[in-house]
Amino acid sequence: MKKSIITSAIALIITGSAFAQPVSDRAVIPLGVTLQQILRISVTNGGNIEFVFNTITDYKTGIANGATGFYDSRFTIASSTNFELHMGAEDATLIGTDNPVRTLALNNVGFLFAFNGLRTVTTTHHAMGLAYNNSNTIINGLRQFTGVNATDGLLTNGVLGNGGDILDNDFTINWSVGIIPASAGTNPTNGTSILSQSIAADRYVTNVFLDINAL
Amino acid sequence: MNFMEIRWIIIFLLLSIQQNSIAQAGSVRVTVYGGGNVQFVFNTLGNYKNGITLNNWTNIGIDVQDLVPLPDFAGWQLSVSAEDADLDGSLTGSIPANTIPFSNIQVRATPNIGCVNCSFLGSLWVNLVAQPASTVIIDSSPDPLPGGYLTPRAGLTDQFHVSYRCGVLPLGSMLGNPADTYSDNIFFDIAFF
Repeated sequence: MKKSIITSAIALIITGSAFAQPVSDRAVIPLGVTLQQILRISVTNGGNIEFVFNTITDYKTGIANGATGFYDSRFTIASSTNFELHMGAEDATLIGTDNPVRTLALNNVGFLFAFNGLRTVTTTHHAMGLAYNNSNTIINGLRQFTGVNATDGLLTNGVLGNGGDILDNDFTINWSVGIIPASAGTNPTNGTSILSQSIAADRYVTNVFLDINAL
Repeated sequence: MNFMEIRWIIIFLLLSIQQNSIAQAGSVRVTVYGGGNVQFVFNTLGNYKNGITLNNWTNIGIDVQDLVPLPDFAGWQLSVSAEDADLDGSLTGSIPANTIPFSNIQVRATPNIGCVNCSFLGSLWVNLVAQPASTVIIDSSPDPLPGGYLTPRAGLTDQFHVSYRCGVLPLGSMLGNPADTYSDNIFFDIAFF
């Protein structure tokens, strides 16, 4: 019996050693990809826009953008993900500086939205936002900021996605004030001259928020 | 059945197991000597647009011992694959809904030291594929040596580099993928054939 047990033990040791000889082997390497969110908007030009009405013609026909670049705001967006751009005024109206009771309706301010970068609506990287859906072709009136696409959405991602650097996402807003007649924008302009609105002389101001959200 | 008969049966069974075991007449091992953790960190838009390449990141050694002419191994191969434990064909983020296809990651083997006559198959970039599939990146060509033995390899002296790249053209860009930490395991398998 003893011999049997010893023989078995030796055989087991030998078989164990033999099985320890692998004919295949595996090394495991953990692999990780870390994506840091990048989301930045920079106004590069036209960070302060001032319209001065000092002739009756200005009051009657408004001040057009004029394509001089003087009434333009240019900004860039760098984003590692798709994003949505919202634009709206801080206040419900422009407010008189000298007399805050005096107001000027926001839709007296109009704008056209232009793409300067490699990514556009045409390339289907971008799609226009709901609130200013045709502002890339027709002047739209300014709205108050809400942070909701339906009421202040200017831009969203298209089929190909709009994440990219500042060469991809470079935009201009061409501002105008008091232009008549009313535009056929998604949010039409006022369409009534500043003169016929009989607005009291003052300096009317508000801040326009440009806000980007990662999608 | 008496005691003697039982004893002989036990001895016979053990011997036959031993015979089967000894029939494995060779061994292969793969050992990671450096770069055992691969991390791609995308924190600039340049990274997102152009991708990240980690050249010669991992250093791997191989051991091959072909001890007897029979069984006659034709050679050995080293292959790479991704574990893909959740079987979704993608790297998975900390939020499971966030995924990056394995096809956005490539691997390349290049010579380091030793491994003379190892074939690196052109040192091509190959797509990472999920288990049970795998891609051969090195084989033992032109083994076997005359006499039926494979050229012996030792991990300390037969080593190669592995490079990795993610989001590099022609692979898909990382732009548009949600920020997250995505992870999986890469397998390097060596086996006789």
